[in-house]
Amino acid sequence: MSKPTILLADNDPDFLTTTTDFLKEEGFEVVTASNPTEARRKLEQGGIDLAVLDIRLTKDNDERDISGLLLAKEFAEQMPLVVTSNFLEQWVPTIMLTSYPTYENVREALAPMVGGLSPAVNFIAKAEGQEALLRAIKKVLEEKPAISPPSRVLGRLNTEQRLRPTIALLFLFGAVLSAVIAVVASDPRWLVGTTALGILYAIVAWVTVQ
Amino acid sequence: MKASFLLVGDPQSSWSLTLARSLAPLGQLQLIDEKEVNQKVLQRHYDLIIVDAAIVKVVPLIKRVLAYTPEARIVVATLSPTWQRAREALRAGAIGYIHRLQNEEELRSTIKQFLQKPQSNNQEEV
Repeated sequence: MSKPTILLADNDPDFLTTTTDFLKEEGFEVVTASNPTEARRKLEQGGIDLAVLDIRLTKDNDERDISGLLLAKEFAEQMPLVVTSNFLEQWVPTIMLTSYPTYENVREALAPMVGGLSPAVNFIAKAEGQEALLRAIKKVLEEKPAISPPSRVLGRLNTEQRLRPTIALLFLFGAVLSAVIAVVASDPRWLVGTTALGILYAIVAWVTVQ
Repeated sequence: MKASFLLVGDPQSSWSLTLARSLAPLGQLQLIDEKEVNQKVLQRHYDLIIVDAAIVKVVPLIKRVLAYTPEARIVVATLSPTWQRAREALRAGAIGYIHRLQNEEELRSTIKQFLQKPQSNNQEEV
């Protein structure tokens, strides 16, 4: 069985080296990044099973720096809202890591966003130690394959969102039916009326799924 | 349409009354203590359940409510927020963790934001 690959992103080179060594000893492949751009690129390249992102990924002494958290948000927002069979391949669970834990940052990291996914699945303070990080990583990797994509993604949708594909399909059906009637009737008046109706149905269907 | 809120905490506390006044323009707030939770959440749907961390063991309560009603949206309110408790609550499945504000207008605007939020997926063992 191949080793799970972890993206470890932190702008502190010493932390990056010691944590990488530790995780490799524990049996993981580790890909590192020292800034948001590098982390984004490596996430986009794929092949990452889990990301561990430092919150202050740009400037350690700038308390307004939440670039790691913003990156996690960006990736969570990109996840599809509708059920897709490759959800798990696209989804990289993220653990936020920080030396400066605050409840506001925890809230930003773990509370669900519009769409339902939270930017991160866990939040670890560096002061909790490497073992705490290791436990969190193992737990996420154990749980990830057990997550059923449809139920997980459907869980993110509210009732209105769940009904959208059905509504869109009904309108598309209306559009197709209009076209069939127009062809069968072969009457210019029917043709104009049903074509207009078909276009209207198609527009509503398109707007609904947006 | 008016929203329905449930506050699990001390119905007699001054903050409960502040919250009730604050949410009055948005909808109706029902105040109950911890013992009544199971029965209430099964009886009807609430748009938001607010849990007062001062008198309630938050994590077991969140898990219990979500076990009965997985669609429930729970916000934890506390006088002394900490990042560890925020982590516990949000990982247990709460959608929010807020400071127990006293200003009615601020409180209303904070709570209003949660009415738009979906249910959390973080219902994991803590």
